This record gives sequence, structure tokens and C-alpha cells, in this order.
Amino acid sequence: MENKVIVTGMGVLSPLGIELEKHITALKEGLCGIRFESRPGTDFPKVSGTVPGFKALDYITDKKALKIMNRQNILGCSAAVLAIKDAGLTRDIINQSEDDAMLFAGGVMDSILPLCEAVIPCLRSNGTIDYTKLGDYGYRNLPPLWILARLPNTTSGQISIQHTIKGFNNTIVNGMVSAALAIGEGYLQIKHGRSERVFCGGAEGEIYPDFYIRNENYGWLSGNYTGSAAFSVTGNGCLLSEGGAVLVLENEQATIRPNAQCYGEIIGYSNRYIPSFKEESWSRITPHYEKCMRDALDDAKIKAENVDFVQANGWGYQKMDYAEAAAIKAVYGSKAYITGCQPATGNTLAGMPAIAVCYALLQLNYNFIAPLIRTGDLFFEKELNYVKEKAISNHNRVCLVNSFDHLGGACSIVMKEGGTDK
Amino acid sequence: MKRVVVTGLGVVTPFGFGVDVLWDSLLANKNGISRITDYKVQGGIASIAGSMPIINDNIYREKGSVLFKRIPEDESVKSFFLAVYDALNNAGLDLLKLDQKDRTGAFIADRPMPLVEYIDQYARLLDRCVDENNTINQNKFYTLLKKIQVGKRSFFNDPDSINHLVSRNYSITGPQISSATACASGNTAIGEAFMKIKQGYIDAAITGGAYNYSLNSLIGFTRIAALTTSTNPESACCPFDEKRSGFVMGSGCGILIIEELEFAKKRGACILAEIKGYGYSSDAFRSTDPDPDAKGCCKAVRQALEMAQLNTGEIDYINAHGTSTKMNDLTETRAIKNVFKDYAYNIPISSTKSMIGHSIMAAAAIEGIVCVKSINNNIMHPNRNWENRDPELDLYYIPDNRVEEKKLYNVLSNSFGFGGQNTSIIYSKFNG
Repeated sequence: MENKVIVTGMGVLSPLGIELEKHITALKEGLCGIRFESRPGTDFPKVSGTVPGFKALDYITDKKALKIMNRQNILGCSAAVLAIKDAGLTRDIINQSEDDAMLFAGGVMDSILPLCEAVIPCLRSNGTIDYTKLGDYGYRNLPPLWILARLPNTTSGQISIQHTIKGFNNTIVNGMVSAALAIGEGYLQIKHGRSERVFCGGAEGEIYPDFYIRNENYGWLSGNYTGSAAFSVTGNGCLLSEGGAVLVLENEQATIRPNAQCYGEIIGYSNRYIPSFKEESWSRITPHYEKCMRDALDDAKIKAENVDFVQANGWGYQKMDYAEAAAIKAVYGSKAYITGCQPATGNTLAGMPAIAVCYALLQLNYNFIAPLIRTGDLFFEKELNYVKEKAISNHNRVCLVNSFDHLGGACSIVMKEGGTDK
Repeated sequence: MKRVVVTGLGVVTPFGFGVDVLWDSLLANKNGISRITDYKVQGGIASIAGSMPIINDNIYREKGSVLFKRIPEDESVKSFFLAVYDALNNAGLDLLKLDQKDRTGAFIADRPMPLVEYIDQYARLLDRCVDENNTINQNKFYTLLKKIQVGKRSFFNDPDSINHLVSRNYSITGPQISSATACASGNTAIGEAFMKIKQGYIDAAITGGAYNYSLNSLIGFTRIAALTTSTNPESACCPFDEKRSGFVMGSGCGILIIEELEFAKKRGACILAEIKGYGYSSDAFRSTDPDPDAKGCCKAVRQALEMAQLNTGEIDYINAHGTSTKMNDLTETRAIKNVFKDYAYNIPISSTKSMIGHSIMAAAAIEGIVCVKSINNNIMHPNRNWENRDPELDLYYIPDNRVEEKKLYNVLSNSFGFGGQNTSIIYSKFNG
């Protein structure tokens, strides 16, 4: 017996806004949330998109808990608050359940800077670290609970604590596809009866310079505002942002709350790895992406011609975008519309797939397809059905969301319309 | 539902490389904890740990060229990979010859080494970036770092996890999940791989955990006062003992090859044990402490028993989480008593951490290997340094320097994570 998995709530924090209405408006109008925030004398963008008007205390009332959190923890926990409220759930309702599960993406951000509070007083003039000083008093400059924000499972742990989520709890640290895996694995949890309700998603917070430079070296970050042009033949990488999203998935049979809503049903999921991603040419990545989408469609028992739109990964990184465009062409021809949100939100790293899934659900629900923005010459433009610059109205029944990363991860999720009361 | 069996084991611990090295050392009550020599830590920061062993170059050479086709130079990653290689070898599973490469998955709990491991390289520019508030000016840091490191990779780690490297080396295209549930990560990884096979998604998985402590973890766990303040490597780690005062950092890698029973039989694999049950829960209590009532731990154990369709009286041995912290050992004892009632007093309990420290993401995987070895040999290793009974901890912890022999059919492996994540796995003697 397989259970039907529906999405009953979502909370999204992205450079496009906080409230769902804001996201819908921004997506429909093709707005861009990226702000290139370099400071005088440097070209470090720090973060290309921040969540506008976000105040942590609006969502996390426990000031003690807030103290131990980093930006990723805060955004993740805040998105969870929004999602739980949106689903019409309360702490009391969640507390009654023993098997509600939590699956979250661990942030990919890494830096030496959080340790600097301990290290700075111990720097010698010759550019070395005085480890005696570091051990004697330097490390005491760090708050006692400093390690918590460094642990990958703190966000999922905190969400569980704040909302009394007592079942399975996992933090997935597979790089930038992690949130897609969290959602996909959450779907399987309910489908196979391991949980009746799952909270899942991902978030990413502050962007540090050393992380930024490392990834500039890998060649998938754009150094200027014209970057993040998905599927562009001249794409020069993506721009980084902060953000995150949490979804509430439930077994349809168990959703008996009077105010329960349904944004859509998750019906298919695939998780594959591309072993030779780094070495392969663009065209040899294509069959892997194609297989990933076909596996998800098979799992959903849906034919490709029934997919209305593809919420593409569309990083603005040529190798991946070419391969994705070619794979979409092979699977759907020109039938499915192609959209993507990274040019509008920036790449929110571990939070990106969760935001993309939420945006796909909003489009599925409100019968529109958001445009790709900053479109110039696109890969296979004449053979594919890109939605460019202007949203279109469409009766959406089925969509597929792709999440691929530069380390070889590949994941697709298929969703169909649900009985919405909106 | 499919049955899931263990067919291969591979391990690197502070004792060295290889399952036999670990097993013999545990039975001999040896100590794998020593003074830290690979970090320049001093003063109040932890000075003892179960550190990664130095692997003899000959061992790497013996393993042939296939081993390092795509493995980075990082010593810890190289030795993690040695465990993977050994487990596959032990299982007689040649992944490169498999027809369906998407029917095998990689489920190893680990994270790439943090950037902070390169802090010495950064030190010379940090001083130039300190602003009037004694913090780093990020713009200046960015500009200087960019100028210095152009064309160099020496400042940066590789973002790949061991799962990426394994999948690449063996051309695996199946699902890949790196779990991070702190100290329970290894069990989560094994448990989720077990579920994937049980539900028919894959035939085989390379699973387990890998971890090497970093400057972040040494400093962070010292600061939060989770580590023992003892500086004597011989006696610092004493799970369930009255004098326990905190855990000792560890490191290592434990890899299990697990397969669907018919798939394993078809290829003539030697079956080492069966995984019968997996349980999990979240305390939803507090970030820094376990729930003192142990409700979450009890739930994980009960769920594992239920899935395995076993009665409490059928568990022959518990390989405990046993970290040597005041709270964990007390909570775990309470959980065992709550679940097993009077029978709890009859179950021999030992903690592998007593000899090698707590290797966080690798711990449960290494302990899983110990469970399989215990079942295969009908022997249970001692709790090193268990000498003084804590009045509140009144179960049967196998004492220091004593090896217990008993026919073992079903063994429970507990792992409970910082943040409240609880996991239990039941390994059973294989009965075809």
C-alpha cells in the first residue's frame, strides 16, 4: 500500500520576499531580487541577494535559541515557522504525533572566519598563529555554544525542538542538491508509511569571501551582475544569495484538519549520481540528466507529454545548462514550457532546490508559468519552449523540478495539481 | 519487503587499518587514545584523542592502482578510501563489473574537511585584515585573498565528500545520500541504506561513516565542555564508570557492504550477518542535552525491535553509544532499563568508544562492524576503564579487561546524536 503525498504548507524566504503573495507577484512580473552589494574599494559581492525586510525575531521568539544560531539556522527555522503556520498546524497538533519527520539540507557554506574571534588575538607579527595563546585564552573568546552553529544538523534539530517534531530526523549534506533529496526522501517516507507528516527543505545563510573565492576558482560563479542568465549561450556562472524554504508534506489520508490545504501532490522522485561529471564534456552529461528526469517520470507513472512545465535547474553555468537543455529536448521536445528561478533569486546553494519546488507548486496552483529573466541567446532556443521575460497563463496539471549540482548530484521531482481551495 | 545482509567490512581506526587489527585490539583491551600530535593545540584545548593512524605506504601500494584513480592527496580521505576498498574486497563485490550501476548506492556519513584546516596559510593575511573592532574586514580579506591565491589551490579544501569519491571511483550512478545526524550519523546512513534495499530501490549499498576531527571540533567541543578534562590518555575515556567526565574525540572510517539477500546469494557472497531492525527518533528537547527521561532513545530501540520482529528477551548484547559523558551514559542506561525491564540486567553492554574515543560521524559504523564481528565470533569486548560503579548505572557493563563469550544471535547497536537524534540498529546472525 502506497500513500498519497500532498504538500499542505510552505514557507519561503528568498530575495523575492517572504509572504507567498510577494513571491507570486514577483514570479508573475519577472522581478529580480538580486542586489549587487559590493562595498567601496573591493569587488566582493558578499551576498548578491538578501531576504528583504527579514527580521529573525518575527519568527524565532526564543532569544536564547537565537543566540546560538548562524544565519543558515535562522533562515531555516524561520521558513519552518512560516510553513507550519501556512499548513494550519500548531505546536499542539504536532506534539500529538510521535512519528512526524524532519529532513533538512545541511548548508554548504564553509569559512575560516567564524574561528577568527579566537585566532585574531593570537596572531604573531610574522604572520603565524601563537598556539599557546590560542589554547590559553584565545579559544575562550568564542561563545560556549559556538560549535552548535558549526554542526550540520543544528537547523533540523532546532526546528524539531521548537515544534516538537519527534520522529525521524536527518540532515542531508550532499552539496547543493541536498534540499531536493530532503524533499524526495520525505516523499518516500510518507509513501511507504514511515511517517504521516514530514517537514523538509533547506537554507543557506551568509556568504563568506573564502568560500566565494574557492568557488570562483571552480568556474561556476559569475563575477558580475549580468551573471545568472540561465541557459544562455554566453552564461558566465551564477550569483550567490541567501534564502531557504520548508515544505510540509502529509499523507493525504491523514490530513483531516478543517483548514488543511493542498498545493499539489508529489508523485515522482529520482536521485542519481554522475560519476564523471568533472571530466565529461557538456554533451556527455546530457544522457545522465535525461535518465534522471525519465526515472522520476517512471516513478510518477507519467508520460513526458503530460508534463506542462519544467522548473529547470538553470544555473547560468554553461556546462550544466547546455546539458539540461539538451536533456529537456530529448525528453519533452518542444512540448513542455521551461522556466527557472535562479536568475531572479540568485543561487541560494543548499536552499535552492526547496525554493524551486515551492515556486513550481505556486505556478501549479495559480496556473501561470513564471518567465526566465535576463534571456539572450539560449541553448536550443528554436527547439525548446522557454518562457522568456513575461509570465504566461496556463492550466498546469503536472510539472517536473530539476536539481543538479557541479559535484555530480542529480535529482528530479514530479508534482501534479491537487484539490486546492485557493 | 526484502531481507538485507552484510557481506563486507572495512575499517580504519586509531588502532590502524583493517577489521582484524580493530577486533584483536578490542579483545586485548588496548587503548587507541593518545596525545594529539598532528595539531598544535595547547593549553585548555583537548590534548588527547583517538587520532587517525599513520598508514604504512606498503599498505597503499598493496592495494593496487585502482584504489587511487581519483582520490585526492588528503591523507585522511586516502585512508577512508582504504576502508571502502577493503570492504568491497571483503564482500568480493566488483562494482566495475556490475551490469546495473544505478542499483548500487553510496550512503556514507561524512563531510569534507573544513576550510579551517588551512588556517595557518591564512594567518599571514588575517593580520592585515583586522579592523578597529578587532574583527576581520571581509572586503579587505576578499581582496587580499584573491590577490594571493590566484592560480593556487593550496588555500582550499576539496568540496567532495567520500560518497562522491566512491561513486566516481567505481562509476556508481545510483542514489547517494550523506547523512549528518551528529554522533548518530553512521547509524542513520546504514539505516537509510538498509531501507532503500528493503524497499527494493537498490540491490547493494556502500554505507558507513568517516570522520577526522578538525581544529573546529577540538575547540568547539572543548568550549561547550562536552570533552573530558582529563589529560591522561590511558584513563580519560571510561564509559559508564563513576569517574567519567566527558567524551574523547576520535576519528576513523567504518564501511559496510550491505546487499539484498537474493542478490548476495546469486553472486555467491559470504554473508556475515543480517540487518533486521532500524529505529529512529528525535528528542525535540534541547540542543545540548539528551532528554533525561530518555523517551526518544526508548522509542528508537523499540522501533528497531518491532521492525526486527524480536522480543526484548532476544537481544543478546548491546554495543552502547556509551560516550563517557555524565548525561549520555545515564540516559542510555535509563532507556535500556525502560525498554528491557528486568531483562536489562542480563544483557552484556560494552562501549567501543572506551578504546578508540568518539569518532562522531564514523562511530556508529565502526560499532556496527564490531557488532558483526561479535556475532561471527560469539565474543563481546570489554568496557576499557570500567572499574567504579556509578550507583545510578546498575546494568551489566562488561568490566575492564574482561572478554565475554556467549552465543550471539541478535545484537543492538545504539547511537544518539548531539541535538537529540536517536538511532538503533539490530544486527542478527544470518539464518538462511
